[in-house]
Amino acid sequence: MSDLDLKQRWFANLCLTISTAFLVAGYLSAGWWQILLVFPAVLLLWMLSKYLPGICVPSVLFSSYLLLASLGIWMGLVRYLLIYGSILALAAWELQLFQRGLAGSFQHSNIGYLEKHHLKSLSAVILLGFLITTVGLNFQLKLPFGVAVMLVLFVGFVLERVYFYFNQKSL
Amino acid sequence: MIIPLLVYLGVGIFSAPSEIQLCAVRQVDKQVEENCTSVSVRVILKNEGEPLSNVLLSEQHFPRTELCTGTYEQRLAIPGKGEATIRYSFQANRGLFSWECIHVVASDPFGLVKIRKDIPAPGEVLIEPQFERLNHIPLRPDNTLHSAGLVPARHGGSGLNFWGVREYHIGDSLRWLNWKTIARHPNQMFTTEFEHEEIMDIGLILDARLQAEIHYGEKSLFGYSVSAAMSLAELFLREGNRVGLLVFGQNMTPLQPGYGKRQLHRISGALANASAKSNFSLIYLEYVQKRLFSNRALIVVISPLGLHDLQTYKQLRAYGYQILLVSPDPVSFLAQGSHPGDKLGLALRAARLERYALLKQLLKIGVRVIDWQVGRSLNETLDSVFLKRVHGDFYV
Repeated sequence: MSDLDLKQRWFANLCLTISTAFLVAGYLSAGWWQILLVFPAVLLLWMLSKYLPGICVPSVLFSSYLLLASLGIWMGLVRYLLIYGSILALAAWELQLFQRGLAGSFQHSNIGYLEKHHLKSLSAVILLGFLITTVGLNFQLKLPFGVAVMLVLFVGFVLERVYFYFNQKSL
Repeated sequence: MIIPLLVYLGVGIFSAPSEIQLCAVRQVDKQVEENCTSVSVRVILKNEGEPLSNVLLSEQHFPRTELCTGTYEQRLAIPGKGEATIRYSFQANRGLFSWECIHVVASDPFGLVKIRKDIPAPGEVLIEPQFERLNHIPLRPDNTLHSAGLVPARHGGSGLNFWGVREYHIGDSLRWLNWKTIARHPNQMFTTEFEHEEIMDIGLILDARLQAEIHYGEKSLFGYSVSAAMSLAELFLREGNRVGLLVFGQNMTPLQPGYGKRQLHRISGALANASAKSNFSLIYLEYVQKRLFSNRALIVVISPLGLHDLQTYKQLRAYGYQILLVSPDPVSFLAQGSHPGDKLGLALRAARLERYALLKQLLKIGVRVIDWQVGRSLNETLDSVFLKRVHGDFYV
């Protein structure tokens, strides 16, 4: 295993640990001790992953995290912790999928460049995510519900069009 | 909560490559080993455009090959104006392997936005079937071609074997005067005549029907047939004979008769691609042969022999063709793992008797048969047949 591989694994485990810590801290701060059941559940899933090859364990864990974080925000828990935790959970998920994608690849000399570039892009996502979250949570803009819904729909539409344009271009 | 996902998507979209500007050069090397041939492939990709941070390269995967080193799919990054090399190797027994392009999928670092392109990277390698160098087979066909060779031609001329004595003609060599006959007839001169040696016209027919393909573990009876066809072709061409080939199966591959190393190369190319498919009746063979092989050709058939083939051989004999059948024994091939006394042993014994009866009938109609137990080398079998005339191997 190369140095970069080890770095990636270390980074993924760090992101996973911190995001789990944020989630647990967010729930515990409101007295929800049941969140501690997350740890044995995750452990059980990792152990069963060998016998369930069809299930993508990182994706299941990430989806579960988002669900718990959304539930927490809806219940009015500490938003900073939950959103920061989600960003780090996204990073951990992406790193694990990337490691899986490289698992069968021949150890090419240019693989270091690929891994470095991937880490740089992911770091940009984390930093931007933290920045936008911090700015967004500090500047509270009161919008009517309808306008907010229209804004979200508009942003979603623009992103979908941009994604579609790039995919069409690739074909 | 949507912020992380939006940022992730945004970074992915904006770092996606706009186009792929790659050119590829392929190098293919072949190493012949004991039982198979190893092929090493090296593809050098040069990037003439922007850096590509996440590239997936996919190569064509050929059937009947075994990957030794590397993988058919490799993920890497290619810097701008830089180059990358991928290497892999595989093993195969025979075949023609050709590449036209290499499939490239370039994407952003997260694999969200992908661009696909086939980069031309042509290459080709022919793995010839392995064969063993056979010793000379003393065949005596009824007809020969009028060119000097090694086969006794059943008429007088230049050669080594005594043929007869004839009257001396002006111009005959004085070395070959037959003094004994001259002594008995003092007023006349006689010359010794030798049997002229010419070349044969051989038609090789490889049975590539589905029933010729029998597997036992990793071994294949059809593989032995191909190897035998290649060995016989090499022997006959090496001795200067004219050889044509017909691979009889789903793809009827006729090869016009020819001579020398060029014909050997054509035959090895045809045999490299041969595979046992479909199930044509051998009865169609009589319609193909007249166009391809002359009626003076000696037909050498390599076939495990089917139950319903007897009629066709009878018809071919009725037309006057000389036939030599080299038959790899499918019964002994399948019997390798059996034990005497079990149910399979009884079935194999019945199959052996059936085959023996069929071969006897072929002998009666004048087809010369070589019953080849594939566990033994073909050279040994032919030597024992033609030199020792051991009953059970060669049916005269």
